[in-house]
Amino acid sequence: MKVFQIKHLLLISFFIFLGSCNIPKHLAPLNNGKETLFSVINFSPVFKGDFNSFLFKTSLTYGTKFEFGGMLMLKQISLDNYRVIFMTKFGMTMFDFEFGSKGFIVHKAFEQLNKKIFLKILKQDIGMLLSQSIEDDKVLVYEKNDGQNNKKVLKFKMNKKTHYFVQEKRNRISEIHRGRAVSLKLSGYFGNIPSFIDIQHHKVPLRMKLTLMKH
Amino acid sequence: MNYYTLLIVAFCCAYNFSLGQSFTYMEDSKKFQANLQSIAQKTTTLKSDFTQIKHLNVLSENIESNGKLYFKSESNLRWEYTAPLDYLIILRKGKVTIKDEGKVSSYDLSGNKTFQKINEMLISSIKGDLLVEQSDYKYEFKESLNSFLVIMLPKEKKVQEFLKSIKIYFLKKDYSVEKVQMMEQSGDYTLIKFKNKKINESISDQTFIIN
Repeated sequence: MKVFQIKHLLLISFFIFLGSCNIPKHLAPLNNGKETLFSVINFSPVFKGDFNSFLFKTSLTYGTKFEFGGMLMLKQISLDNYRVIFMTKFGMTMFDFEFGSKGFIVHKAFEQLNKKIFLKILKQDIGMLLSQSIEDDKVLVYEKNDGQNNKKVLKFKMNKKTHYFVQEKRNRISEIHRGRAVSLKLSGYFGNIPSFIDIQHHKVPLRMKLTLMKH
Repeated sequence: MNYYTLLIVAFCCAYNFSLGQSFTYMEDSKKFQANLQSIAQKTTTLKSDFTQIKHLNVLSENIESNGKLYFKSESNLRWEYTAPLDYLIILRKGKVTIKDEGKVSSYDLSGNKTFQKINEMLISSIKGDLLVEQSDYKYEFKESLNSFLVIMLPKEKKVQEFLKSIKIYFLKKDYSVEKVQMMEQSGDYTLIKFKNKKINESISDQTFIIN
């Protein structure tokens, strides 16, 4: 009986360990989550509702291998459709994507960027920022106190992968994580819009930094 | 002046303006090219402010940037964005130096044919010297009352995917470049308008060095 209990406990702790491996280190441990659904009460999407366009100064770096500088335009064109266009400072369009009800559409991608893996990464990263179609999805809400602020951590599945939102006052999203692989930090809020967005990959040296220029 | 006279004057002004802007094929494009080349050869320096307008069909308003350019013969170019972002690019002695957010990076153009072509293209467009590689573009020459227009149509399929045409507008009065428009296949375009041009005024070599 004792052997069974020990095995059982080991098995449980192994699964807890596996689960916690996926949690960004600084958010662990997450205890006593309340299961609920995404709603306007607990979630405010970053770029939704006003159909404005947002222009960001953008740098895209891959270690020391390449660095692209330019401007990224993000616009909600209909209720569930967004257009994301990245152009060089000289105005040349490097990529033009649509995220919407018909899925992910590549309207244009400069030859050097038109690689399956690269498009997949951009689709996932920008998809995290837009967080479309998660309303009414299940979410686990955790209360956290880092000694200074009360925060909420929202754990949910998007595209079959575990994601985390870290929310501060008024449901403002300060961090978005896809497991431990990718993290987005949003700061310098101007109204409901973050002035700085830092997208950092942790398994590859890919980083995208966005600084709000105009909205 | 009564209302009707005012209306007639306004109509005539608008009609004259539209005449001034309507382009027809140039009668003597060889003479134009010879004049342009001769002026380009005499252009040793050029200073100008510029406004860059990016038009995206999906956006209701254009994205506008402003800056300054300095050119000094043979091939020194300082292209500087001042608003809404600070960004500086200098082409000098076969090198391109970029300053972005205080970070300076340099690249040697000698090993990069694409950069070399961009370099040639930029300087030729600014000087108005069209004797760039004729094998890469088909040229069309047009004129209106006040301007000459050269339309460059890329021949390479890869370039065509991104660039439908480059339109360079020259002022008839001094053959200086008035604006450059880069048309994309989608109908989006980038328009660069030059103003406050100063030709053959002294420019210090220091202008082309980033400290």
